[in-house]
Order: sequence, then C-alpha cells, then structure tokens
Amino acid sequence: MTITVASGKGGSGKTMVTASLAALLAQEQPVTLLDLDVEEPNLHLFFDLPVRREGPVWSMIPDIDEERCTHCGVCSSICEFNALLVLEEQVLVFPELCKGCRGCAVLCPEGAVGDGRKMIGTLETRQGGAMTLHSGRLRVSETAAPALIRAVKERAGASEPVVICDAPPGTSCSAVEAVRDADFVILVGEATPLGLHDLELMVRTVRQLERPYGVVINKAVPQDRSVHAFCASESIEVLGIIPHSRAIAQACAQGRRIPEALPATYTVFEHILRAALRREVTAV
Amino acid sequence: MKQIILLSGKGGTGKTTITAALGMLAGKDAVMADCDVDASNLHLLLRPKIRRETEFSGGRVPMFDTRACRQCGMCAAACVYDAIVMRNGQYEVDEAACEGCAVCSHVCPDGYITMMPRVTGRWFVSRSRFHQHMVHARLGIGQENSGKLVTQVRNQATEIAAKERVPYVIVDGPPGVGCPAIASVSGASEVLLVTEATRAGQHDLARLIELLEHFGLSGSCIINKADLDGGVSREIRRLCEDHHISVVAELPWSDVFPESLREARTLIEMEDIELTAQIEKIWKHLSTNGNGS
Repeated sequence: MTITVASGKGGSGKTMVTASLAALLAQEQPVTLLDLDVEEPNLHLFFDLPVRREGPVWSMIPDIDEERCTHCGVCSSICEFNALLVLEEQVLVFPELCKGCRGCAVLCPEGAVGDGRKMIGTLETRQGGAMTLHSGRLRVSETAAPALIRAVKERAGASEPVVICDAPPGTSCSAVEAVRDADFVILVGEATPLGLHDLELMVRTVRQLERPYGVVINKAVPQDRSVHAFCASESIEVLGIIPHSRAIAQACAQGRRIPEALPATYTVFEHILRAALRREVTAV
Repeated sequence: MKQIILLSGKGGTGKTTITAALGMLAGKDAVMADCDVDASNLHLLLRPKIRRETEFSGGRVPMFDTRACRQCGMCAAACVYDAIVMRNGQYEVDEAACEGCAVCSHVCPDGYITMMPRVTGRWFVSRSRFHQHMVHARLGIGQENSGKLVTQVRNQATEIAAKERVPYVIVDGPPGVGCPAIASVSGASEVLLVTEATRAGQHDLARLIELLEHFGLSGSCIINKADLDGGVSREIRRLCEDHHISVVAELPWSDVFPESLREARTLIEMEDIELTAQIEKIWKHLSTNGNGS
C-alpha cells in the first residue's frame, strides 16, 4: 500500500507528518519512505540514517552522429521543447531544454540520433532498523523534476507492505506525478486562509485523479475553523487535528519526529496512521 | 526599473506575508507579481480587483480520432512517459502523465493523432487594494508548463512597470529550485531569500544559493522564526557570510504572521511596532541597494 502525504501550500507540515507517521509504524513493521520533493528533499533530516547507496539518475538527450547527419532539420522541427537547432554544418543540442522524449531519435530519417544522457539528479538510499528511505535530489539548475520523481518511485518494490511518500508542494506536474498512483492521499491543510485556499486546489486535484483521501488539519487554532468547515461541507474525512504550537515548531526545526519529541501528540498521529491504513481495505 | 524577487526554497517560510507587507510600503512605486502560479496566495492579502483576464496556453496535448484508430499501439510504444493507456478497448491520453512531446502524433501511421493547444491556466492584470498594478495567475490543476506561465506573469509585470514608469517590480516567487523558480529568477536585479531557522529551511537555502550562483546572481537574506533554534540561526548566518549574502533582518517566531493571514491584512496593518520597523528596514535595503538599473 502506498500512502502519499501532500499539500498545495508549502510549509503546511507534509514532511513533519510523513516522518511522524513513519516513526510510529516502524515500531511494528518495516517501512519504506520515498521523498518525492526532489527540488527540496528534507525528509532525511528527520532521521539519523546512514546513506547506503547513492547514484546518478540520467535522462536521455540526443547524441548526434555528425557522419550520418544530413542536416535535414527533421529533429528540430519535431522537437516541442526547442532543444535542437540545426545549422548548415552542425546540430546544436540544448540539454537543459530536453525532456528526453526520444522523438528525434525515433524520427531521424538517417538514424543519426543516438541516446546520449544528462544527469538530472541523484538517488540516495538510507537504511537503518525497520526504515528504508529513498530520496531524489534534483541537480540544481535542472528542471526535469517529474522524471526524477518517477525514478524514485521505481525504487520502491511492489512487494513492500507500506510505502509512505512525501510529495512536493503545489498542484502542477510534480505534485500530480507524486500523488497519481497513491492508494491513499493524506492532504495536510494549514489552518489559515492561505492553507485553505491551496487545500481546496489539492482536493480538486486528488478528486480529478480519483484517489481516496483524507485531511489532516495542521496549525489549528480555536479561532479559525474554516478548514474544519470546508471539510464538513465537502464530506471529507478529517483524519486528525494538530494544534498550532511553538513546541511542535521547535521540535520540527530540529528535525525531531513529533510523537517521540512530544508524547502528548502520540494519540493524534496514531489515529491518523490507523485511519490511513484502514483505507487499504476500503480503497478500490 | 528594479526587479525584486522573494524566494525561499522551502515553502511556508513567510515569503507571501513579507511580499505583501513590502508591497504595501512600496505602494504605487511597485508593480506586484505573484509567480507562485500553482498555489498563488498573494491575492488573498492584496485583495486585487481584476481588470483583465487572459487564457494561457502553454504546450499541446494529443487528441485521438478514436473512431478511426486501428489500435496498432505504436503511439503507446513510443511514449516514454507511459502517458498513452488502453481504457475500455481504446487508446487514450493520461493528461497527468503527458509531457506534450507530440511523438505519438508523429509515429501514428494513419495520422489519427492531432496535437491541440492545451489551456493550462489564466493570468490576470489587476489593481491591488494599495492602488498598484498586480499581475497574477492560476495554473490549471496538474498542468505542465508552470515555468512558461511564470515567465508570462513576470514579463507582463515588467512591461507594465516600464510603460507606466514604475520603479520597482516585487515578485512573490515559487518554492523549490526547479522549473518555476528558475523561470522567475531570470532577469531579477535583486533577490531576497526568505528562510527560517529550521533544519529544512537551512538545507533548502543552501540549494537556493547554489541556484543563484549558477545564474551569476547574488542576494540578501531574511531569517524568519529566527528564535526557533539559535544553533540553526547561527549556521544560516555563517552560510550567508560564506556566500557574501547579507542578512538584512531576523524576525522572531510570532503569532502575528498567522493572525495577519486570518484577518487578510498585511503585517504593517497589524500595527506591531517591532515587526513594522523590521519590514521598513528590509524595504529600505531593497529599494536603495545598488540603486537599481
């Protein structure tokens, strides 16, 4: 089963919730964690796990065989991303624009486009005790986040009982790539008007993707019930409510898992975890 | 004209809250731009009146002539994104997976796949409640090309500023260091990094600085929630020092931030004397530093 923790707004508490749930579950069974926020991977900061494996992730870029190339221009005319420019005597390739679709390689009439590669980031695996954490780290200045997210997801075997994923913020292609095949999505909604605004966008996203989901309300204060009200009016299950608290913010700042740092919060996270795991039975 | 962009790497560090406060101080001297197009929030604080709304189409998406299709499967085989799936005996596009490369349309032996423009969002030219121009956008759910929409918003804002002779453009940037952040940072004359005194904030700031240096840019920094962890705060200051980035303000962890959001007011309107003084100091730094170009 794959549980993905997501939110539209950054800083809502996705990584804090992911780390806390994983810590609880690891007390009873092996857990695989995926950090899919490849632009800013932070999940590893919550665990003291040694890196066991680290390696590059590649994406295809065209490698032009100048011997065969007739400079006919087919490759540049079909490239939707303007990653190729055919001059009279040579072909210029712009790796940073290439999305690795292989169209140029498939369509070159001379078979002059081979598979070159560019490094889009690294994949790191940390392991200790019951916990295995795979993180993608996008190479700075690289834009191919969705491709790297796919590579991280492939690292988790299908046989693993529970995989918990930390998604990137936003509602665009990266966020969708992270949640689109989840068995259950936990949306973390910050109890502010900004949090609510982005939660609404995220609810529309998971509905469109037809994923089962529930909401965790974070940074809750008595005077703002707007996220509660939204969930009630949309018949969305509230999996748990985490209060706005300096103590939690402080524990988080130091990369501590909340149920361990603040035992009073144990039952809240336990409840969220059970509610999410129960969905294994009800989902699809 | 000076283009000031606020970036944070990590989300939730207070970028938008601080952008809005700076916007209020700048008033008509600034055009505001919200480049966080997939979770835009600046409008919640600046409460603009929309003057003009434009559809944005970035990239294309394949459309199948399903009645004529012979189900040969060449399109699905050629798609490296696994975006062509068989549903109810018909091939169709999984738009969430499609990158718009058009390879399917080229390999279909019968020409039954046509690439259609994909409406990926809308952008707005508005007037904020502080009587300044504001450009913002909304990306469609799960859409590609947020980078292109970011560029559109930024270009519109600078165009308006140039035409109306407004001295500053203040840009609320997206989180991360990927395609939207890269699109918003190009052309910036001044970058303000908004970080927080957390391990994650520090980690993400380091990546953001790497990005700036890659593009030959520098900037200044605000440490928000600076008293959450004194040790991390110190390390952030050292990191900034090592990269010749001046720390222009350190703001404490304060309930005034979430309260201002709940009341849809800027930090300045919360009338907290200490915070207001800090924001004024930041604006003074940004508006005088390097004297624009």
